[in-house]
Amino acid sequence: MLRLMEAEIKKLHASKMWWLLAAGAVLPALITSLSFLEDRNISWLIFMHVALLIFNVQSLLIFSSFAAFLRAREYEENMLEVILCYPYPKRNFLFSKLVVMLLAIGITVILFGMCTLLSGSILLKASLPPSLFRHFIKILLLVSLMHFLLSPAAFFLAGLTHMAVSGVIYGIAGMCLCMMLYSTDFIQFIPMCIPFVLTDHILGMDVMKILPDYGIHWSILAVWPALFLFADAKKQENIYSRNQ
Amino acid sequence: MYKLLNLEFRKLKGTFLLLLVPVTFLIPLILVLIQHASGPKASLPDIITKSSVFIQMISFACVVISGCYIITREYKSNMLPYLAVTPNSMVRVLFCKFILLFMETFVLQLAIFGALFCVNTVLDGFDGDIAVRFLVSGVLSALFLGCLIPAISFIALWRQSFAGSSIIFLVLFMLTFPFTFMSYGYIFPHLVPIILVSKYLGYERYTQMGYGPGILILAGTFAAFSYLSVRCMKKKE
Repeated sequence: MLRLMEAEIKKLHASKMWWLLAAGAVLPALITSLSFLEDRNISWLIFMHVALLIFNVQSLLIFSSFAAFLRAREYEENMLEVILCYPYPKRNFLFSKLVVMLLAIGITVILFGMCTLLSGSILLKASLPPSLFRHFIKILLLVSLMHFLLSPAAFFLAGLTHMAVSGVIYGIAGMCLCMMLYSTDFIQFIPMCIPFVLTDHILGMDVMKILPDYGIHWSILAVWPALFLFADAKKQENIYSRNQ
Repeated sequence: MYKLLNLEFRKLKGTFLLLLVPVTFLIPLILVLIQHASGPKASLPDIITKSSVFIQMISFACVVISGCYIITREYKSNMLPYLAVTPNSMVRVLFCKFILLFMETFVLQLAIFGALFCVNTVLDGFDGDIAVRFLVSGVLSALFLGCLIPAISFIALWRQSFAGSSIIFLVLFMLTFPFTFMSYGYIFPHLVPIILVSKYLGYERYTQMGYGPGILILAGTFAAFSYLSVRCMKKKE
């Protein structure tokens, strides 16, 4: 398993996809700072709220594209036959990609958190309250988990279409859904919009009216990857039995 | 030229673009209808005006994906040497791709705004002013997005891979939100079509903005990237 993960990371080593993750981590903090350049008296809470909103919207595109590129490159570079010859259970290939995805999300979220805190401390006049700092860290952990739970859908789409572009389309659709439907009540039930809505609510902002009990949101987020992982496993089984 | 264009159309058969274009056509329609059905009572033209930024974003994404795919597929399937030995110059091949992309954009924009007008007619009855407004919006949108086609082609020709070129556009796409909503948003050429069409539709955030700077930036982008794309293609020749 470790060897597979190492192979995945080595395959990504020369790829330009890391730049996308770097942009995804740095740009939200930068854009937020630019937005408040003329108004430095805002509170840390507002600053974090805007940074998290931008990050959650952009991350849909970034992580789904990353997941799709990770999955589809075997198809696009005609490497699947070679990979299927290796003596590893087929599910391990997907599992190793999921672990790499989790690592990528984790690194991006950590970088984003650092950039937000750094740009906030340079820009804002007020100092960061320790309780808000702890709350922010907790939210970042939840954000990582939520985005990770959304990634199997992008993996499945890329596996189904054999093209990375499907993940890009999925991400763009998610972005547009979040921004167009933010004033509606049922945005909270759309899996791709849950990180966008929930993070804001957990932070303490009440811009979007959502149910106070988060159980339904976490249930949707738990069912969503399970559904796609099951569909993916079925599809892989079909490919393998056809190849045999 | 006609034969080349015909060939480009034939190459589209069986590709994902045949799915992407209807999806791009349907998504704005569905999202606008959802907002109309669920939100507080607002007229459909108001909702369309409020959502015009996102409708344009979806169209921009479609043009980028189509453009990058149509250009880079020649590299991916190693077709460039075969195209080079035909009696047509590579610049002509490039122009055919431009025309194909422009036609796709034009049809798509007219279809989107036409469908939105049809829905509005069904819900609120026929309104001649709205018909003209949507028709002009569709044409403007197609023209403005068409100005970005050389830029998309140049980046695809430069990177030579769909992944490479789309990463650049993904980063640019990330700047859409929130720079689209800022007064200086049109310094990014890819945001100009979004801003100008939304302004024409009456989006209140852009009432202070003029058309001049945006059109100048688009014209400059079109001219500069057309030259760069032709130069890049001539080098390959």
